Amino acid sequence: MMHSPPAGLRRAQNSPDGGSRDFSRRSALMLGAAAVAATFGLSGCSAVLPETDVAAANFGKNPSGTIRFWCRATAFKPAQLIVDKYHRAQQAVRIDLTVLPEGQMTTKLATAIRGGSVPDVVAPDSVTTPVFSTRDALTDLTPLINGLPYAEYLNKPLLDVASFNGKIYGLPALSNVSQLFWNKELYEKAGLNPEKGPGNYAEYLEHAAAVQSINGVSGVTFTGNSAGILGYVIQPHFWADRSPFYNGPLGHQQAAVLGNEPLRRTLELYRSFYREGLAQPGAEADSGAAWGQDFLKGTVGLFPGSYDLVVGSATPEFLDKLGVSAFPGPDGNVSQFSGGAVLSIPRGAANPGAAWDFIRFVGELEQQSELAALGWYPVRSDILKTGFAEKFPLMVPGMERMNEGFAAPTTLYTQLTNTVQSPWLAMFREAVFSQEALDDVLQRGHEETARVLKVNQA
Amino acid sequence: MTTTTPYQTQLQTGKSGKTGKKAPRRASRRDSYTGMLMLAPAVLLVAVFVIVPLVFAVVISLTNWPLVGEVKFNGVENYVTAFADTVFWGSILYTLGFAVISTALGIAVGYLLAMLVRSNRRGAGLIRTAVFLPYVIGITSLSFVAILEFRPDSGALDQLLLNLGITSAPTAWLLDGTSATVLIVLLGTYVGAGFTMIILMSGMQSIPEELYESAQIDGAGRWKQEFLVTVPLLKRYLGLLTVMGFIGAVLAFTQFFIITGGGPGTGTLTTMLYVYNKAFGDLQVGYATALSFVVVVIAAGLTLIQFRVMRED
Repeated sequence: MMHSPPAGLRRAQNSPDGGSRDFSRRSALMLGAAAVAATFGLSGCSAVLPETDVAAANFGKNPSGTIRFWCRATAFKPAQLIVDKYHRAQQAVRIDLTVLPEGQMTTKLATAIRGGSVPDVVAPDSVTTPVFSTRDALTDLTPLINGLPYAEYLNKPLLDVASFNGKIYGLPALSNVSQLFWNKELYEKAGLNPEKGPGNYAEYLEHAAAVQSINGVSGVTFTGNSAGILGYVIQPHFWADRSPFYNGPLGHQQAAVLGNEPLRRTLELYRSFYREGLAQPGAEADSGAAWGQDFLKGTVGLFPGSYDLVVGSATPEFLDKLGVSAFPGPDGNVSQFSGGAVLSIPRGAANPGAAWDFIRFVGELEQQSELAALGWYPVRSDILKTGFAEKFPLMVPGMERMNEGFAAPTTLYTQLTNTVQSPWLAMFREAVFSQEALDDVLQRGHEETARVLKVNQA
Repeated sequence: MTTTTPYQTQLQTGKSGKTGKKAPRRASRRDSYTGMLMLAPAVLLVAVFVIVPLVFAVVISLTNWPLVGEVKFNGVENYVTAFADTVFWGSILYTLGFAVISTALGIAVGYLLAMLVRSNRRGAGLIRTAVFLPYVIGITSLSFVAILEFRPDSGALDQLLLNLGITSAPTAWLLDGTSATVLIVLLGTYVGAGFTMIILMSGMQSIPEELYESAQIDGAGRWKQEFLVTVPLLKRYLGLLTVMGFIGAVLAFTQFFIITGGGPGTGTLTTMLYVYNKAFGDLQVGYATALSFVVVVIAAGLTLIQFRVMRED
């Protein structure tokens, strides 16, 4: 018995004029073309969301409703503190706080922008803000920030990192500052002046060697295998001479490793620490899991570290033994990393008026004082005119040098510094821990930095 | 003898079997529409979830498609860049090496375990459960555990090796690309061996006992029986496991993302991790999609070769 195809199909196949076949082919082609056109049509759209006119007369007047606020896990405590205070201070605006896992802000916010559903306020790591400000993703807050009565006292490095093409896209909210700590008790035992930390590389090496001479004590402790921490505490050394390993305007930056004498001398300094046995045992493998714990135990003389880590973990007695300063450059200049968070309003936010009301609230002096109690540096220098110095003496040097800090103005901080694949980590490790000639390491570091900049700025 | 019904005559001639007049077009169209209607749900699902995303992905790969910012059509530039991207090709080579080693080791260990538990002797059930447990726990959880246990200061691995006198000082295993790769391969084998064991064990248990008795009568010893009877009869199972294991290893992401992040440097950078970093770290979705298509072509080619080899066998 023969099997025949269904009537319709068979007729189409046998049609003398081929009309049905043509119809099918034409339909298929049209459908395909429509699909391609639709997708190309989609590709023609962009992820630039509409921007609110913050200069409008009624902007931010009588704020109400709910705002969505995204912060990263590190800033959860201060964010929750401020949100609770804001809720107590008024009833009209409620905040829905979302805490993102560390390292997820860029991906989550970018995806939200592409999806067209963004939060009203975001507090990314300060080095992440340029990723979005340079891509037309944030609201221009220039007139609002310049109009604040305390605008002149704001943390300048953080304002710089929030700025692009003369516009300001965020208000500095809180800061964490890298500092060089030393143990005064060990300094005294080593015959050093406990009130004065190293002012240049020669002194740094000399101090570390003197402390090392005490039995059972290391001169200095640093994490040899954490890209983020190394960026935070080592790069300020050569930033002190305004010599980052990349430079140029955002989006058009160039590698600046070769010929960068402050960078070279910084790597030589840490190579000396390691080769001369002045660093803590295991520095090469230290990934930061127990960052600074040896210093807090009193077995290390010098610690390039972070205020919140030291103050959050040390006993009051130990804190009395500490000296603190910014990082010395090769010949006496100083710098520090001005990290922290900048509060921004993404374009397309549903409630930007209320979002600004909250941001303005965070900047007030009362809130800034409370952030200091949690270990975060305030972002206003006028706080030093209050009783701040008595309450937070170890914060004073960092606050006084607030505007000498560096906040890494680049859209590629993650790629250049903050990952295991970064040219910075490879260059530091090879320069400090390997036996390779420094010239070769720097040559490779330059090439790799140039490659990363090229592929990401194309 | 065949008989032809009037309806079949109508189908074959396109004419009415009774009158010889042309069939009414409306009735045939109705049949056609019915067929199309019945196919529609399946076609719709395939179109929405396969065809359109695939076409869309092709389009994305021909643009810069940043997650944030203006989209610009750039033709085949992403593909040209991919072919000159030394990091990408380095990750391909690394991934293929990882896939070959981890697949081979996984099958070898799974086979040995299957030999151990294929008979229902006392304690076999306990061993099966114990070996299968890591597969149930999953590689994500075990990767986080591995980070702790591979640490140089407090990890169990270092403590064990120090106590046995094999090493004399704490070792940062994850700081070296080779040692990190070895540990990740071992972790993958630990997790996947249970699954391989179960598949091969079921295959072994389906082999008739008479074949072994015949081989024994012919003078074959224990290992000869294994290689001349068991292995040939398990070829289909081994082939399946090879293809699955290889594709899984080529797509490896989780354990590398959690344990090493692809480091030190690019020492453990797999292709999928590189594609992920490009898409969600560098926000270059267009380029990452182009890289994905290159990976698809390579993986498909290798899988076809595997199938061809198995068929010839």
